Amino acid sequence: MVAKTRKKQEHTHPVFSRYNLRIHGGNMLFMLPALIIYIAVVLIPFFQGIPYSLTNWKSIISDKMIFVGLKNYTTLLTNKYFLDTFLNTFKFTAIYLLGANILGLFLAMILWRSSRFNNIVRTVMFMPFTVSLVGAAIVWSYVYTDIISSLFEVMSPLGCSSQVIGGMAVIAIWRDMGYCMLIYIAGLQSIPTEYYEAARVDGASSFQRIKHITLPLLIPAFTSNITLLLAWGLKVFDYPMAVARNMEAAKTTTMYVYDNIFGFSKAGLGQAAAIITTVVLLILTTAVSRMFRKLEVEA
Amino acid sequence: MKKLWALMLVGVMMTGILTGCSSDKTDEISTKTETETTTDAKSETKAETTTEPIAEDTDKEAVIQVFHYMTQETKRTGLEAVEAKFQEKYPNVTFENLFYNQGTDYFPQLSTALASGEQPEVIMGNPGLYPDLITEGYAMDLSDNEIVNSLNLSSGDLGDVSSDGKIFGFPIDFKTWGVFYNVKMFDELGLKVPTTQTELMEVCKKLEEAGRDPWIHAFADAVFGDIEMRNTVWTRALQNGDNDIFEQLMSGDKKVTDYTYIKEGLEVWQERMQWARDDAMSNNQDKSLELFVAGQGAMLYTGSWSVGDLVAKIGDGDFEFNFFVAPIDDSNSQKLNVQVDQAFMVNPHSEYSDMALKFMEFWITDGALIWSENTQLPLCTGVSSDNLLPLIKTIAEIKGSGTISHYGDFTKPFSSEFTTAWRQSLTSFAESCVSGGGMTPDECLVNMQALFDDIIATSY
Repeated sequence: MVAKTRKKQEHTHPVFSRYNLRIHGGNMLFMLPALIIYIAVVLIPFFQGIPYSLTNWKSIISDKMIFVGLKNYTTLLTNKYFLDTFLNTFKFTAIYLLGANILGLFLAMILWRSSRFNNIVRTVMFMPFTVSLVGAAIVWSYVYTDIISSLFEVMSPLGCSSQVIGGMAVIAIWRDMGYCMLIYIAGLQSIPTEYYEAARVDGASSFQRIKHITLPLLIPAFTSNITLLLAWGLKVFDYPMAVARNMEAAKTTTMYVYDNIFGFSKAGLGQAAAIITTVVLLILTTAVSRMFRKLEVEA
Repeated sequence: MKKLWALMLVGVMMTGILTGCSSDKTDEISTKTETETTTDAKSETKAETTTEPIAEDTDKEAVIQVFHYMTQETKRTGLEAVEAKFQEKYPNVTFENLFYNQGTDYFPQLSTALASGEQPEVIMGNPGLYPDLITEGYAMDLSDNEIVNSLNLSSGDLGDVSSDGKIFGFPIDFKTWGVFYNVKMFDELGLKVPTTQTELMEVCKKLEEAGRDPWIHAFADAVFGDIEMRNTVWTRALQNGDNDIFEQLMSGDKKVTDYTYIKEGLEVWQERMQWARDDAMSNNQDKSLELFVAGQGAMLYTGSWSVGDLVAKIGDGDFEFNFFVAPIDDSNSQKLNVQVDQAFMVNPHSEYSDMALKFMEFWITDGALIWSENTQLPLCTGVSSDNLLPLIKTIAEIKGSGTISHYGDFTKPFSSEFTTAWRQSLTSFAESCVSGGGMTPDECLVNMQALFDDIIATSY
């Protein structure tokens, strides 16, 4: 009703035209330091790792390796245990992504207006995000064993294969929902109040206002939160490492990579697993990000 | 004007980055920062000299970096005590102790350090467990070391620190495992130390009838499933002459079902787990000790490495514990399992390897009792003192008598990957027993073999 679909800007100038350089050159220069660091510590190591993934390199303290072609990749893609780690990772990501976003959005809806009380509650809700992942995991392992298990006489989810992923996801949700809340609050505060007033005049109900104004205009916040949490979820490592190291059901792809490269003297295989993981992560985050960008509307 | 400011700002930032990459001075600063950060993460502790130095043949300055995985506080204190004593002889030697958890990141951190050119002087670990260090030359060959050869160590002790017939480590102390029990609780209920599996089951039933939990478990730490199995597997394997069991399983020439006593071990363990508490899977070692000392369970299956921490947790409290080897059948055929616990390699590539060698020679001889008294760990050399707990002395005496199953008598230890697979399948079995999942020992063996087969299939 209020929002209109964003029209794609039509550029008639070539990418490196003087016009584009004049308009975007300054911005690009600001981005350059971060870009250089990103290239140096992410992109170059990633591409340097590809040749190793085509070898049977054993230990990282050894130089000996034999070229094995795509054998590491074919082995991994047909390996039950590696695929299981993907399944575990996806399960974790799904619960974490939904939980943190739903709770974050719910909190944002309650707390988005500024008041002293709301500001305090927001700070409290955001505080877990400042705790380290390992710290959060260890604290929660005690919450599970000493509080929840004692109160309800149940096993700690971290000691139960069928619940361990959920147990870890709860820790991650607790830690990151405050972050999601802040992004949603920023999104809610940027929606002009006139839209709601106009909708009210038109007789729109609360549900209709949320459906037709709030949610469409919050899409950029969804894009940010969902893409980021998707990436964080897919590369989860600290939680299982800290509190479920021995549970097969908690083994994620990054743990598989870590174990093979550093622990099991199968660095070539581990490198191939790392590359597969990165590619999957890249495809999924790009797809989700694009999907949400298409849904974005302009206020 | 605005644009000019923006460009100048970008220029400053770029200069900062580029100089950060090239300047020698900045390199120094960044290295220092990195060291400081790493030091924090690694819980570095530096031993300090508190006594007057004794004049010795050398005033050479050296920094000995000790890479270790001593999780227990008492061990770290013991290490510092040995270092301090050594510093009395060599006042210009300082120590840098780098601690990582063995179960999670010890070897990864060590190999990363070595791959990046760092060369720690002393590396903790049984050489057989870290074959890469041997093949890549990061452990000094000690086969001709006079001190090691003069100690008359048993073949098992030497086997535990050897690889392909050569000695690569200093074996300091040994560990064993079994049932630690609450003496007061046993006395109150008139229970006797069981010597057979049936007697042990009777003890459990009586404890249960008296409203006491018979067992505290700590299966969140994978080693606890492993040690509950070892008593049967090691004892039976060595009795049957299967000294190459681990080598055969790793090569794939034999399957776990070829060794019937692995299933037997699972069945014996399963019987004990009838009385597992709800927290059995989530307790780690530390938590299990707390629960045991708090009297929440009558027995705790753990290793001798826990004794120091157990004593520390008891403090001035009124708690008495003792130990027995868990029965594995009704024929009283259980034996004390023995494995070298603290073993250390000297890195020949390190800057101060000569001083590190002297330090290790000191530790295994003059420093050994300081270590043992601090940690309450029995020494491989058999040397003992009145400051050790009677329990530790008894364990040392049993080892001395030779009626033991020693890990060092196997031809090869499990590699870290096989150990992980072995422990993972045992943890799954424990979980099933604790939660009533119904996994049978046969199913556990199928899972275990599948994991082993996968390791073999991905080793090329």
